[in-house]
Amino acid sequence: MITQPQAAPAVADPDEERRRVQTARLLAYRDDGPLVAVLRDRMGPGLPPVPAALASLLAVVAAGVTGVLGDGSGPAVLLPVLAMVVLVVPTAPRDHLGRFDWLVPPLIRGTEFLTIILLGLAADTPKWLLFVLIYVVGYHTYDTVYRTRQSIWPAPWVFQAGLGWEVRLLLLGAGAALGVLDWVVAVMCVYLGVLFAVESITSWVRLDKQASPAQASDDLEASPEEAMEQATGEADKA
Amino acid sequence: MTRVVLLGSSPGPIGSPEPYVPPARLALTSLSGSPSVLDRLYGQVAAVDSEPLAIARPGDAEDHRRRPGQVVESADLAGDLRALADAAERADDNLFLIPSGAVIHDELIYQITKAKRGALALVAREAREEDENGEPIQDDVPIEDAQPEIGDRVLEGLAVRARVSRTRVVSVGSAYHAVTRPNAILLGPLHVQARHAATLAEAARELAGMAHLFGPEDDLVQLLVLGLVRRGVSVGIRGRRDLFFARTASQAEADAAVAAMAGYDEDRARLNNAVKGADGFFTTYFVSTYSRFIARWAARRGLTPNQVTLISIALGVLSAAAFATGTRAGAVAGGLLIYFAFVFDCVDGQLARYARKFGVLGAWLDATFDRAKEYVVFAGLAVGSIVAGQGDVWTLALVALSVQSVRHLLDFSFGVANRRRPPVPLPTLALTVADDRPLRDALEKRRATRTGGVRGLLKLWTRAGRFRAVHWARKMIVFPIGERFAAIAITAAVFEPRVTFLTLVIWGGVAAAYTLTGRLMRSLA
Repeated sequence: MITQPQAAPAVADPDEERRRVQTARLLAYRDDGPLVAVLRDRMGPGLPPVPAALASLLAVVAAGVTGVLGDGSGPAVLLPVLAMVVLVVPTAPRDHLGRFDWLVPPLIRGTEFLTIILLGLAADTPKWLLFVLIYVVGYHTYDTVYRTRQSIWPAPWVFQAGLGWEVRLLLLGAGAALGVLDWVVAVMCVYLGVLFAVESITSWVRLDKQASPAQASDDLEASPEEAMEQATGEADKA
Repeated sequence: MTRVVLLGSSPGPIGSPEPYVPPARLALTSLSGSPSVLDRLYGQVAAVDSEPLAIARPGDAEDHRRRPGQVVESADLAGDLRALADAAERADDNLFLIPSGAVIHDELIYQITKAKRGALALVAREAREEDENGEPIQDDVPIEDAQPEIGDRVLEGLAVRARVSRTRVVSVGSAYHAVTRPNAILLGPLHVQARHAATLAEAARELAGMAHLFGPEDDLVQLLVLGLVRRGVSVGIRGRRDLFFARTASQAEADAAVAAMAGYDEDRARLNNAVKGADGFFTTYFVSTYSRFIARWAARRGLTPNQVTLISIALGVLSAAAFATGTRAGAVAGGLLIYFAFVFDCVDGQLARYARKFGVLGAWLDATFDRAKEYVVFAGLAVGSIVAGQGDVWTLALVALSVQSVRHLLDFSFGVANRRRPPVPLPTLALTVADDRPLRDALEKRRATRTGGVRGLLKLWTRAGRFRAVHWARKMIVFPIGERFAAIAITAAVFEPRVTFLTLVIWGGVAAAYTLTGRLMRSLA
């Protein structure tokens, strides 16, 4: 579940408020789906996100390098998927306030993309289809970023209907194990493509009609360091 | 919304032989209709606030009453400060303060009131003293040992009593408050965002109580900035750059201001401001040099930013189609098309800023289709490679797409986490303290705590950006959008798609490693 920050009662401390909103955005970038929503409150304290996400990335890389995926069918193809789900789903209950926790969303997305590529290559799925799937998932991520930047949050159901990284991967893994990965990828491309495109375009158009004009300075592409420097005047280049 | 406050009580220029003339009686003769300075200013600020507040001396109040908005009469500096405190307390908007004798470009008002800084003052720096060889003269006493002074130099009729750094006002003085090495004047226009309005009100009220300590040469805005700085507000600075501002208090000055202003090209300044400052190397030198003129042309033809975005999308799709033909001619055409797709991508943003047509949808269209354009070209290249018999490079295309998407997400996530960190507060100093040495010591301490270990290294790296080569190399290594489009255009036109993807993946990987190193260190610091 993604909590919508603007629905919260007014908080006196602006620093506290800013921290809450920005953390909600970080959690939204993870793109957790229905499985995480069900399990989130039943996993106790959960795993530390950065080590777990790193471990899952390494596990997927190992699966790719050692060739356990074989010809892309049979139960072995579930290994990378399960490794990631088992390691990363339990990180969801964490507050993501750690100093390195900004690494988690890119790690999750990177591992997800890598798993899709490895499964697809092993099962000989048409690569252009994989390209479309990665683009569609990427589009959803970009859209989440751009929308939260303008404080226009996607409704919680979008993240559920979008299946989240974990259900997407489980479906792909199951499809590969049963030897029908091509079809699963194709159906997922169409379903997610239509869902994300229609939902995002309708909300942006609706918003454009009712909203006050965007700020002159709303640059959706400024690097974080530059945005910071503009607002505070303190150069802070990495 | 912004609340405009006209300050009708600026001191006349120091040392001016001419008597003070109120702005309502200063004619700008060579402008059409020969308006008075006050008429012109009221007309200009109407775009920001249709009911500005004027704080005026009783003798001038009648001039303001004939114009829209409210008028508060005040007989002296203490009254001015109290009136301003009242206004700041009532305002839940941003505040824009400007002397009523100001002759200023519309564009400068626009740029100051649209700034992102919490507080921003228009300043003019004193020219550095130079020796006969044109080298700046170094002071005999290093700044650490310098005595705070009551500034007695004069610049543009104002006392030099502020010290500014590269980005903000460090310290301000008055006839009572001494400043270490003053180097600038506060010209008058001051923008304060709503979140600092309460602080401004408090400061103005406290200053009103000590008005007897100030001299006739102490300007109202100078005192207000003094109050803000002493309360730990970061007051940003900007110069006039390519725009005009002057205070006028006599007909001779008004005439001089009009004559000087005629030498400026306001439209050009507005166009230059429409170009983003922080672009990469390729964008700055191979696109922005002329894209602004396309933007101006488009604005005059009445094109909207969204229409330009559509042109850019069409060019991107055509480019992908050209690459997909797999022929050399197609590859060259594709390279050219993607370059112009990128040019028009820059034009739409510049047009939006120049024509001031911003839309939520426009920002989204622009950002989303930037990505779409880039990735559809990947697909076109992969198809072209197979058509041309140069091999199946779809896997490389998949990797390039993943690397770029994840790199973007790294930026976004770090940006979000970075915004969670509370800013390190600036030191404060009570207004009763006469010299600014404690402020200086506190700033020195703040700097010291921020320069240990990893921080020191980062600081050093930030400083290295003063060298142009380092500055641009650092911008190029992160592989920004301009460099990416250029890399695609050149490698695809000259070599084959495989080379393009390898370039993208390798350069992207180096960029990711570089930014990650910096950000991991920053998170540790």
